[in-house]
Amino acid sequence: MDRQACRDAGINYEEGVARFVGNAEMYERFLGEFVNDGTFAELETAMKAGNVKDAFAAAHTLKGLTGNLSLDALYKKLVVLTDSLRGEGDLALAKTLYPGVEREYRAVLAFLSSQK
Amino acid sequence: MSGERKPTVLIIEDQNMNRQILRQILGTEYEVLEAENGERAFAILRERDGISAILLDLMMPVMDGYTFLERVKGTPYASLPIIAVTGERDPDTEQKVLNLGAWDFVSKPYQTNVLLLRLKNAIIRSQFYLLREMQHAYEHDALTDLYNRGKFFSETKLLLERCADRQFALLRFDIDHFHLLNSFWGEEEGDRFLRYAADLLRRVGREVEPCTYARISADTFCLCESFDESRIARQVDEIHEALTAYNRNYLIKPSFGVYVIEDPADRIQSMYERATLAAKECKGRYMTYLSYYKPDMSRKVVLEQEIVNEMQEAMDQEQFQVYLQPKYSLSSEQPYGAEALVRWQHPTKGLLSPGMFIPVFERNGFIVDIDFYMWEHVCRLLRKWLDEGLNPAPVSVNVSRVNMYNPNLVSLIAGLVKRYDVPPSLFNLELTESAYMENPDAMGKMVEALQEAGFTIMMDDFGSGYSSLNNLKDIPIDVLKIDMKFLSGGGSAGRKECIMASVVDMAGWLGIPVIMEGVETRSQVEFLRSIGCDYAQGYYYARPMPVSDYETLIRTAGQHAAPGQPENHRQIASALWSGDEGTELLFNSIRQPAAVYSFENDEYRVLRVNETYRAVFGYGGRPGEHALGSSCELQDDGCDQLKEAFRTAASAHGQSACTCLLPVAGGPERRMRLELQYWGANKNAAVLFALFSETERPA
Repeated sequence: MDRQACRDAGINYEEGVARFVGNAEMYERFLGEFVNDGTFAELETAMKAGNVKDAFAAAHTLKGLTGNLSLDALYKKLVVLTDSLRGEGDLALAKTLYPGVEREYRAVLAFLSSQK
Repeated sequence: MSGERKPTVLIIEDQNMNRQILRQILGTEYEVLEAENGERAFAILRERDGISAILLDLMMPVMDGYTFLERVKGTPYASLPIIAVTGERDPDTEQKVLNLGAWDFVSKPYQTNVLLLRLKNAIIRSQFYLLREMQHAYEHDALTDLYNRGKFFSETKLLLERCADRQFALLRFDIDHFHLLNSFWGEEEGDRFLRYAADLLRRVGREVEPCTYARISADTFCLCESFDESRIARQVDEIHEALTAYNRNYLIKPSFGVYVIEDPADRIQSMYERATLAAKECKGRYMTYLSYYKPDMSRKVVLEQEIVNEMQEAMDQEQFQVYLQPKYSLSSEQPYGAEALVRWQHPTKGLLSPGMFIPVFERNGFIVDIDFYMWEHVCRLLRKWLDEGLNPAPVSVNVSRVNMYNPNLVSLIAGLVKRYDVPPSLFNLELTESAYMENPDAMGKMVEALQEAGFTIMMDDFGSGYSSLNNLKDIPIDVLKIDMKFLSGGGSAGRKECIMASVVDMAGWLGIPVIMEGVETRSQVEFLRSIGCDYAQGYYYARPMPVSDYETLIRTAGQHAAPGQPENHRQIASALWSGDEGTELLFNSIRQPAAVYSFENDEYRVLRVNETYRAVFGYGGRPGEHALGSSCELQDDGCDQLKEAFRTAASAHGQSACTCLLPVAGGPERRMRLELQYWGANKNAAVLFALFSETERPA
């Protein structure tokens, strides 16, 4: 994987490999699997339905996952979105944040798909 | 591949990819197990041993991390180190999770090095705790959490070394017959009681620093503290009272033994054994629950062991010998029969008294063999005397407590006398009252069977046990034996004598002869004669003697039974004392005051009165309450006249009469005529029927 291309797509490649105990091959395999992960679809459905509880659970999970995969740009957007959905939740705020998350997700997905 | 097995970590995380990432991170150093939720995690914990740590994601469907932490409390897995994994590193979450028992935190996204370090630290810490827990379990009693025996001994050793300038004492207690309480209550309640006892000890121990205390075994507790006799007495009273108060429906009786430590360098084990010996002194004694160690207790143990080692050989070599203590008729002061007592003619120690070895035999069961040995030797003696034409009087033998429960006792004894062709009437059996009263129903049946086989049954040591006088009517015994020590000890002067006189009197009415044991002085003999006791046995007349001495005695003195009761005694007794309504009705149908008196040694005593008597004289039934109830209190001329009338009727076995002023209930004295009719006798006392009639109307 091209390091520069990764950085452009908001992926901290070095940190990700370090987390996988230096095993770059393993890290890249997991990045590849992220493409098939259904959590974003769950977030999308919940946001459209205005379901704060489900949206929070999905955002939280996705946050953890993207954090661990060092998808930094998407992770940062998700941290803010997750916070807006915590507890009672501020749906209005979340709705203004969501498009940014979606945009970032699509970009990362496009990049990772192109790498296969 | 060989080498150490990798430690196992359980990952609880719902997100598959996160689990995979963790597996990658941990895989090099750990065996990894995965659970996608809390429920599944519990299943794995139940199936798998040897899990070293848990990584727990807090946000999960089905069962989240918080619920898992709550559920794991109180399970065997509670001691496993759990590291919470969360994306939220806010103080509230951390506090909540730590409160729930998590050991540490890691946050998402994972910092691989941090995660590995924290996991490793948690595992090391948990092993350290486990070690500490094992150490604690090794040194403490699981039920009460007090020190156990080993820890108590080593801590006490240290305590004595540390405080070498002070004198210490070892206090030890246990509960008499605790196994019985345990079986009455069930083990669970028994355990609850032991924890209660442990708490008492803990409370006492906390007040007397420095000290050590422990549960040594089942129901045995121990406390080592600086020696202060009055404080120990207070502590013992406090614990004793609290233990008995635990459940007053049961007899909870602790026995306390104290050893005052002389040489702190002694083995603690030896000190403990001495306190145990002291506690043993209280066993089976209801009023005594504290005893201090005395050096002769140890010597006793050594001596006991010697006795046990030598007893069988002693029996084989016939070192046990029959001694006979004659019984004397108190009326004639001549011998009649004897009690057979065992002596041990030891080849090196000389003549041993039964007190030295019988208790040992009672504890180890050898007493059963000694019983039989004695019975057989007495049978041989009786056979020999019969062959020699000596016309022997009965000899009594003792039946030990254990043998009283022997189901073959009757056939065993009957077979024995038959084998030697000795009439059962010559072979009397002494049963102790305390053993009898343990199981009166079974004993009653056994006694009746022996009586049917022709044996005379004596109740030994009457009054020492717990039978009330009231039991006497239900116990089918033939002779009562009472020890003079019944008169010693507390109680105001005259009170015990009065009770003994009543017992002898009552036994007389029941037709049961009384043998007094332990008679040592002339004044005792005089007293016993005055209350109508039949026989005496004791040093005053004769000590237990070898068979040859006894043979000489009976050859020269002969044998003289005490006089029995007069012929109509049984009828008088039943007429007087039966609660039979017919007798009562007849007595009360007499429209004049009527009474039955006994007259003995120039003193009269009312035995029974009718209703009219009660109405006129106001006698309520207490002896001595009224002048007419007993002669002791009437001092004037009237008394002389009355006494003269009693003397005449009693000595002539006939009638007499007198007229005198008599005090009546609630009014002035009245002149009344008294007619007396001799009825019969109870022992030395004449029994007289009295009828009163008025000679003039009151003014």
